[in-house]
Amino acid sequence: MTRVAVVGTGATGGAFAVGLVKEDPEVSLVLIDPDQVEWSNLPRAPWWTAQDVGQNKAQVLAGRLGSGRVTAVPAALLPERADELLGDADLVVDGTDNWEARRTMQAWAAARGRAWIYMSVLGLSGITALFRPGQDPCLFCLFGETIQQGPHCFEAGVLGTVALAVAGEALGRYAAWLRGDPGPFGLFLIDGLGGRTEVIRAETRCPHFAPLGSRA
Amino acid sequence: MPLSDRELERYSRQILLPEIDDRGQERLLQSRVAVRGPAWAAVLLSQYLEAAGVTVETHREPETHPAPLTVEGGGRRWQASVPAGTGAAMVAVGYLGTAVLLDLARGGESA
Ligand SMILES: [Zn+2]
Repeated sequence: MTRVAVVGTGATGGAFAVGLVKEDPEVSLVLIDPDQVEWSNLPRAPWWTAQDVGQNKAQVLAGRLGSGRVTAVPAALLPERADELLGDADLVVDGTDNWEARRTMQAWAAARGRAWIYMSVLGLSGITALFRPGQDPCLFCLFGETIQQGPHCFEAGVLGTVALAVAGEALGRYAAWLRGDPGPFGLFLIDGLGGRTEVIRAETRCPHFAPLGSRA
Repeated sequence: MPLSDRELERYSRQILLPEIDDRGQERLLQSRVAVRGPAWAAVLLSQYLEAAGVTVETHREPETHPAPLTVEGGGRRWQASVPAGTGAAMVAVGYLGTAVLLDLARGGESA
């Protein structure tokens, strides 16, 4: 049984969770999100309805997925709580819009020898990638060591169907990881306007993190 | 009809996109389409189009892959092929839904 933690249950993380439960009904899934459902979330998160506004996002989604193996944790992923919240996850999925949380996921994944999947969406485009710390390039290799928070979706706008395509590509990376055959590292660029995904291969040797340890 | 305050709040992230804007959101809220295709993908696409403001009628067909997923409305038609595999199906639905929403938001105006 695979244990997956999804951090952030909005447009990307929620869509990933919905697809994951269909792809692998036996998966053990932890949904982590401190926020409440807002009206402005509804157009790109059809798993929530107007009746859910004001409720905790992770708890409502866990109820919708309706499986005994889905757990909701209404908390923020802070570095000091990473071990407690991510626990024994085999893989962590980034459904946030937040670079601090991503740094925390990356650091935890590297320290625990786990893989993680990055997702982002803004406007009509998005990015996803599967990272195996020490083996693949990392966020710092790709975006620099001093990455700052870019514009949020409440500043630049976003379309839910583009987030769905990002989550779908991310689920493809998950399936490849699960088969033990993710291939060389690829940065998947989702172009909603063009209706296509471009894969950028990068084989940079990561100077930031040591190779994955044993998963035991 | 101009958007209500609740609609402006609800659809604010789409309205912020220059490809949609207020006028495009008004068009989405007035649009009706029929979605037809393999059940899981057809329902997923319908949910996203409805969430974006479109009125949708869904026709579920048996799960065969690859299978066509079509959207018809306002004298127009969009189509994609839904591959096997959940992730790949989500990608196809996401791209098709994006094309439908952008075209409906644009209305009769050319790209
Ligand atoms: Zn690195």
